[in-house]
Amino acid sequence: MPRRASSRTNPVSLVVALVLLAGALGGGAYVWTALSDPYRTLAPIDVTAYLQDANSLRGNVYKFTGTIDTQLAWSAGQGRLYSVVADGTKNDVLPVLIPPQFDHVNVQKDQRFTFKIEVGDKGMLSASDLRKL
Amino acid sequence: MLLRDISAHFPRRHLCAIVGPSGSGKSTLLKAIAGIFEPAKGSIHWEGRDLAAERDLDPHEIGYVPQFGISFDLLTVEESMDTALRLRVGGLTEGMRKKLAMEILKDAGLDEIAGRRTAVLSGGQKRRLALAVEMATQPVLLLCDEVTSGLDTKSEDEIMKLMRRLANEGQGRTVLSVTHSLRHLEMHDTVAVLYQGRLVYHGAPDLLPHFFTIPGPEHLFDCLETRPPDDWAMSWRKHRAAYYACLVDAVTPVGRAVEEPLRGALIDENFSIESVFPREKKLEIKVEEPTWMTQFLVLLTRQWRLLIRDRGQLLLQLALLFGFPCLVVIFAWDGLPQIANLTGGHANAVEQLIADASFSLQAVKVGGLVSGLVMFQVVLLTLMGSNNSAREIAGQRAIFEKEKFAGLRTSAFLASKGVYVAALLTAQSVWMALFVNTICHFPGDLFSQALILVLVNAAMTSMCLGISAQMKTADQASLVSVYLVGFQLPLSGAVLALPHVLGSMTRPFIAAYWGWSGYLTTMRDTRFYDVVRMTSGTSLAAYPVCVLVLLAHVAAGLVLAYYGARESRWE
Amino acid sequence: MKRSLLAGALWGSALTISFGQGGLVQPQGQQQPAAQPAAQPATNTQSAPASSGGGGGEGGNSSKQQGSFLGGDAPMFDPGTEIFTWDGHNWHVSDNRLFQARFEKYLAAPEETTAQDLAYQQILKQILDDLAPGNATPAHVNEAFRLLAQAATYDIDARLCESIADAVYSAWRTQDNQAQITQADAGLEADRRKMEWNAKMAASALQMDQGPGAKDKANAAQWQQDENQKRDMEMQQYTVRLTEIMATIKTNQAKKELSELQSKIEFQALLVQLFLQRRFQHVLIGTRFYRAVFTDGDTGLKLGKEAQDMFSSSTGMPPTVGTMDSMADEVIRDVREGVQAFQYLLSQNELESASKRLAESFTTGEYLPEIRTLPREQKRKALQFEKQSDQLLSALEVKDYTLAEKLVTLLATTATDFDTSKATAAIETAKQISAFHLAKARNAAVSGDKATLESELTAATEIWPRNPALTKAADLIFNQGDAQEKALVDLDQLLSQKNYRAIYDDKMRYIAAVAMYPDRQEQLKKVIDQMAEIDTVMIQADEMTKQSDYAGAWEVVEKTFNKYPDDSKLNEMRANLTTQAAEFVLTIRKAQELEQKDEVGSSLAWFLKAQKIYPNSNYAQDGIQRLAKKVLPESS
Repeated sequence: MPRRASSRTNPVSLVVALVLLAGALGGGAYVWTALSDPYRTLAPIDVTAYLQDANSLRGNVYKFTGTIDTQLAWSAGQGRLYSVVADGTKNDVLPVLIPPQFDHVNVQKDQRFTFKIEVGDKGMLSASDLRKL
Repeated sequence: MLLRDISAHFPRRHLCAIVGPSGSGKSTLLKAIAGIFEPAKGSIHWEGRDLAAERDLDPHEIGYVPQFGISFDLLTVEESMDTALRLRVGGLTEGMRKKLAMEILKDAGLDEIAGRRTAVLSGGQKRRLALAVEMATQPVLLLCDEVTSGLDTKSEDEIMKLMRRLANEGQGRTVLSVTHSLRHLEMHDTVAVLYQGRLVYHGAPDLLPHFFTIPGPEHLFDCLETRPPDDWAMSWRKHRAAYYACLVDAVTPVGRAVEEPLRGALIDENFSIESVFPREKKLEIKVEEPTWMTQFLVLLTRQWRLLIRDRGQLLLQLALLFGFPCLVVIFAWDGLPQIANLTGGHANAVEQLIADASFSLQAVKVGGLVSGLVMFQVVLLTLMGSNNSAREIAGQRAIFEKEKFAGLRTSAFLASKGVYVAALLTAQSVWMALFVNTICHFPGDLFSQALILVLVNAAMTSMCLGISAQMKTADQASLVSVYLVGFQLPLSGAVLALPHVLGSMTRPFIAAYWGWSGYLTTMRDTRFYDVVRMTSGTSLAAYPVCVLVLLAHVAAGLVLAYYGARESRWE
Repeated sequence: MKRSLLAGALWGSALTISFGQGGLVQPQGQQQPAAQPAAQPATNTQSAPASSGGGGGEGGNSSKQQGSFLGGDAPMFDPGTEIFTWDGHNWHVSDNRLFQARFEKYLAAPEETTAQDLAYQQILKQILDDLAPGNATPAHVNEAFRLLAQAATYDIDARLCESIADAVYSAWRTQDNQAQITQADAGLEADRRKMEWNAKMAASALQMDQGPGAKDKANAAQWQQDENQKRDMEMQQYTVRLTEIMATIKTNQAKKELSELQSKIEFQALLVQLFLQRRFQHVLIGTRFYRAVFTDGDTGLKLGKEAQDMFSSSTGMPPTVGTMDSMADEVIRDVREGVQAFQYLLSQNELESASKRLAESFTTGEYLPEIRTLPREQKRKALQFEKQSDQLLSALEVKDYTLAEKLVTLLATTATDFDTSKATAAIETAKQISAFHLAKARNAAVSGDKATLESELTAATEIWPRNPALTKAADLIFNQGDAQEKALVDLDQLLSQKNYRAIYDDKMRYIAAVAMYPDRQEQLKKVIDQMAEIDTVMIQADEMTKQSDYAGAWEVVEKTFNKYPDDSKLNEMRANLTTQAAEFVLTIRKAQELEQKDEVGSSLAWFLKAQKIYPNSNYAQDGIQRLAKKVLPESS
């Protein structure tokens, strides 16, 4: 047993401690991000499938994340229609209708949003919820 | 090998001078006895127990006066004594402690200058203070490492007398004094001569010339050089029995001739020295240890006292505290500019491009401004953080080691440091957040912003504390901390986006990034956020994640600090 | 010309006296040409063919011979107008083809230098010598008389010596000179036989000497030439017959009881006759025989009043045998001089003048030895010249200016005095005018003005039928006409096939073809406009392709393709671009397809995607707007 005054710390234990710390951090972060996604339980929309045949997705609710591109149309009673570039793509653009109840949300070009979209009649996508990222 | 083949025995009520030329391993021997160094072979016994194998000496049993006096210049003699007592001895009331303090000081002859700051003491007074402080626990073993070197004759005399007194005091102490001076050898009970790591003589001072066949002790060192150390050691081994016998005679009131067989036995390698000496009675000293909280509080108060008394440091802190926010505010005195929105849907592609381009230009400007301001705050806080703690542990390491040797708990020490710097950084960060927010009307939740700033500062402080505990010197620690701060900005990705892989590897370790990111996400609802996101190549992490990561940094720093502090680091 | 003057007066008077005719030619008409005979013969010998016709016509103004002493059979020559009359027919001498033919025949004929000719001339000379004044002893006269019979045997003589001999014989008979008559008879017999035989020989030889080698002349000239030769042949027969008639005269003479006066008159008549026939040597012989026979010195010609007046007014001398003698001498001398002049001019290469001189000399002194013995070489040159100038005249007449030009050049080199200016001028003018007309015709052909074309072509042809450019122009026009027809047919076919590109590629041809057809023009215009539009689009698309703007090019082409789906080139371009801008095209198609199915959402997504691929796309922009309006109908 080493004497009190000459105690040396084992560097291994230091590393172990830090690793555990990192692990705790990582775990914490993961859990947090997971928990922070309100649409976690929603499946992301398969853009390719939608482009192929929108009708097959009718009635479903999906999660969709993208960057606002252009405002295509605006109507006081019916809401706003935007073209949204899907995340990770350059040319895949989906038209999303934002209903009038979200009129208070300031939607600008190049903002990133995550939508809870519903595939409606004629393949139109309307947002039942949206969150700015 | 510093020491070889040393076998010696020191009884109680014994003042031994350990002499020898420089580099003979005198201090090393003391440190070995203290337990700072571990002998590769051999053992040290105290009162019949092997210190390494069995229970080590308790902190209060041993006193170690290091070569260089260690005390806080800004504290008074009285305060030093008081602190020492409080840190080492528990269960004393304030009155008792004061009394005891006074007694010890009086003993050491320092009672009249009790109110003076250590800074103004003379060398001898500082040594005496050091001795006095060690006496707080009334140790039975007192190790003094060159307490008299470098002092004038008068001081030397005084300290010799003190040591003599201390050795004789009470139930008697074993006082081992490493000394260069050969003047007062006769005051010692024995003299142990070490030559190049070997014990070449341990006996009565008056027999020393006889053994070495020198006229006087002043010729000792020259004489030693005439023969190789192994010869001397061999020679000693041959004759040590006799000298030990004389020693016994000298020690025991009853004179007694050394028996023959004893003489012969002395040549034997396995000769056990202590068998010569009469067995002594175990000492029963009970000194209560102070509580963790006591130690913590003592340290904390001492720390604050030191800060307040250190004008320079205090001013610096205040300057940083109030000056840095002003720096930030300068850039956004008129608040943050608004940004025109980007409208899409221009019929003409060229018009669209022009609109995009002008928006981009604006975005870059404003985005740059906002991001820069935030980053500026963060970086300044990291700077402050490093300043807070870089020298804290490393700068006091010697004292801390001594105090740790004397029974100071590392955790208490660390806790006191932690609380101390925490207070500093909180003030800094909160003030920064408040000031900037108020003057520049930064949008976003103030509390969140303050929190993240506190955390980023805390992360850096903690990390630097850890560095401070790990580095050998304060300058080293300071340097490394500065480097750490220096890398914050470039590696954060706020100015230049790092390549993705590199970025993702380094970013977790860069507190500034998390602070910056966290701060910006408090402005999520504003256009500034969009703009920064647009113009910055680095992705922003969510607020909670930033908080988490920074807390992790704090924790990591504390872990580092703890392990660093726990290490024994005598010079 | 003195001799013409004389001749004119003489003929006029002779006619009057001998045959109691009013005159072969009206005295008035006679007068004028007699007064200005210089101009006529000179011009008429070598005048342009145009006047020859006139000359022929002029000849017509002579009235019919009334009661010629020969019963209207004697041929007469009027040198005044150079008209030769016989048996009611008139021919202008030098303008006449007849005369030309004779002259050219003479030129082509070899010189009469055969032994026979020389012998004949020798005989005549001998006769003349025998009868020369101061030398006309009865022995010589008899010798001369005998020689006459000899001379008469020669063909050349044409039995004229026999006539003289008869006259002399009858005169002697009337002078009751038996001995002479008997001698004469015998001599006559012998000579007659000789003459007969000679005549036969000459006739057969003459047959071989017929006509010069035929030269290439215009068809009309050739025919005329043939006719002339035919007449000539006929004349030959008459000459033969003449000889026979002379024989008959002789027989008749025997029957009649001749008085000296009668015989004188007959003798005089014979002399005049000989003079008229231009047998000047015989005239000399005759006059000298007259003097030898009628020694009373009465040599005055017993002419009629009118003729006598005429004679004296024109010649200024009383009409006597001596006068005739000297006139004959004069003529001979004139001819000699003329021949000399001819020869001289020939040596100077002045062929035109030389020919004229020779023609004149020939006209009067055809039978004179100078004419007869002219070297063939010399004559040939003149003949050549004559022929060439004839050719020139013919060429100009038939408007073969190419040949005319050649001939003019040729004549200019051979005959230094040949005046080319007139001919050249005529040629050049004609050529120019023809060229102008041709040019006009070409223009008319190009612009499709058929009427003008025809008229101009006609005019050009009229002026210069053999213009080589004419054939070319004609070809052009005919081809054009053909080409135009073909083009129209092709156009119709292509229109029915809707193969507008083929029409467009060859549009110039079709534009030319439909110049006359306004309805077709409309169609063609429409087609061309359409194709031009397509071409413009294709060029535009090409430019865009060069800048790698495949999507843009495709859009441009696609729009046009929807309007004109039949064009193959456009189709091809479209197919290429579809491949090159494949992604974009696919996206647009998908979007359109989905829009058809009323899949608003996904269709809009595809249009948006297309816009991302090619931001300037009109299709995409329109599609987006349409669909956005559909989604939010109330939107502004």
